[in-house]
Amino acid sequence: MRTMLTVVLALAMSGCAGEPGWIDDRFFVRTDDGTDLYVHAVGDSTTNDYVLFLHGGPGGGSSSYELAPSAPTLHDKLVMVYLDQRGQGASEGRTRPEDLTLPMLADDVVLVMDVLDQLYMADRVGEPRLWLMGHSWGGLLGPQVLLETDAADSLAGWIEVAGAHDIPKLHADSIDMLIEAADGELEGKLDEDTEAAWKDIRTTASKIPRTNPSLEELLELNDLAHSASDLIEAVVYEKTPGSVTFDWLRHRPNSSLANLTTGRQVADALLDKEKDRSWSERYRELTLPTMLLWGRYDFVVPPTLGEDVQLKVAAETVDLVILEDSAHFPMFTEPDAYTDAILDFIAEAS
Amino acid sequence: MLALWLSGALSVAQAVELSAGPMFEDGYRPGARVGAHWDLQTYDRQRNNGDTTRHAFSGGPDLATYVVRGVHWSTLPGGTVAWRRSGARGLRLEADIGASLVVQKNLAPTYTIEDEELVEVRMAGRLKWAPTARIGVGLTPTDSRSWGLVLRPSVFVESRQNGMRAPILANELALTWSP
Repeated sequence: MRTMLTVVLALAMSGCAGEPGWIDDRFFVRTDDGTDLYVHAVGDSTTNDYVLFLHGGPGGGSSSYELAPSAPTLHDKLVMVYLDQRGQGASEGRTRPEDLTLPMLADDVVLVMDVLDQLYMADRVGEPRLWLMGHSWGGLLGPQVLLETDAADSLAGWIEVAGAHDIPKLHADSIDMLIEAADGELEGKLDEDTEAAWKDIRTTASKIPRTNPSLEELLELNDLAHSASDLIEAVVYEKTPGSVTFDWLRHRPNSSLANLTTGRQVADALLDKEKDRSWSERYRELTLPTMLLWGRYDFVVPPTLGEDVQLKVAAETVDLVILEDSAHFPMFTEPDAYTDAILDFIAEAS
Repeated sequence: MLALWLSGALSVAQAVELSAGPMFEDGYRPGARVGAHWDLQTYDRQRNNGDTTRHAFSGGPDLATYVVRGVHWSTLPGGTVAWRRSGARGLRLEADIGASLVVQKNLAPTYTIEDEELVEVRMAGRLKWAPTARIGVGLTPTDSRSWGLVLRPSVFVESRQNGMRAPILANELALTWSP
């Protein structure tokens, strides 16, 4: 019965496709070197707001973000453009992982922006606005686009969600945050397993060097940070509606095992190159309206990164929003607060 | 060289088995595979309980296809060599290895920018190749019936992204027929 209901709901949802202004387009953007970048643009275009989303990872893909409970609300209010970065998700090309660079990925983003402009925005009545949004790794790629290309001239604003724009600071702050959280938790009354887990987190975090970490140490800390987030009771993942999951499965553009194996190689190659990258001081050159959105318990990319650049951004509109019951994935844990923050910012900055 | 090998293989081939059936990429995406396998060498083994099992080294071409809805359609002409064990009561165990060409047609439109203009690339797609491996379990054709039914989980290791090998899992339910 539940399955039937799910199917009916999914079919009902697909009815959105016929509504005026509704976009649900999947396409590839071919680069000069023959790479095909996979893009899914979905949502209501009547508000004239388009958000180009840069996924995290690296090595993931953007399709899993469409499973977030926040996604349907965002699609009702604007057009989300999900891009699978080069070598990730359903994008395909000939570049080897070791040849991938941040500027290369940024050039891809600029090309996709050109295609979006001509496909949706150039002939549109009114003033369509394109926003750039990055989550986690996307928060390291975003500044490369904003500060090292001319793309900022065509953008209405920058939305950074738990952005990893400063890897050395991220690493050091993550260690501090983990140790401080473990000390705090261990002062209280915990069950045996939780106490052992926090002790293990504290011990391991203390052993990882705060500066010049190797790739292995960076990844070890990343795993530790996710484990710590899982121990926070306030952080609860909201269930994705069955209809959304069903629709996602029908349209998922890539294969699960392929994504895992190639994703790992891309992640290792890119993180190894970018582990010393810091954009924090360059945020002083950023004049676009900017929103910095973080989860209070984000041990992976601590909220101190957002607090640090809030005062540096040169734009008039700079919002820092901390979601109190979230960690690294606020779109899954506080979807309503997450979408409200984004939509309020877009309304304010427009 | 290939023709020589094929003619040699066919001259020693003892029996042919045809198979066809639906295939599900990643467990649920629709596809199909057809194939023919010739026994190149066989031997019978007497088991302790008196039954005889037939072991065959076989080989032949196949054609697989699957669709990732709205994204791309892949067709994989290729071939495998296999070891196949057929029990007296019809139990079939098999293991194949081989390779396929991957002819991938983009179903999603493919755009590019040429001279600052948006252009749609016609007939966009990619050519790749994929080593394949497959195991199978099911019913074999026997002396009393000419058909069988085999479940074949497969993996196509496509040269998919950035020079990396991307394993694509598929399950095939094949109806086999031995004339």
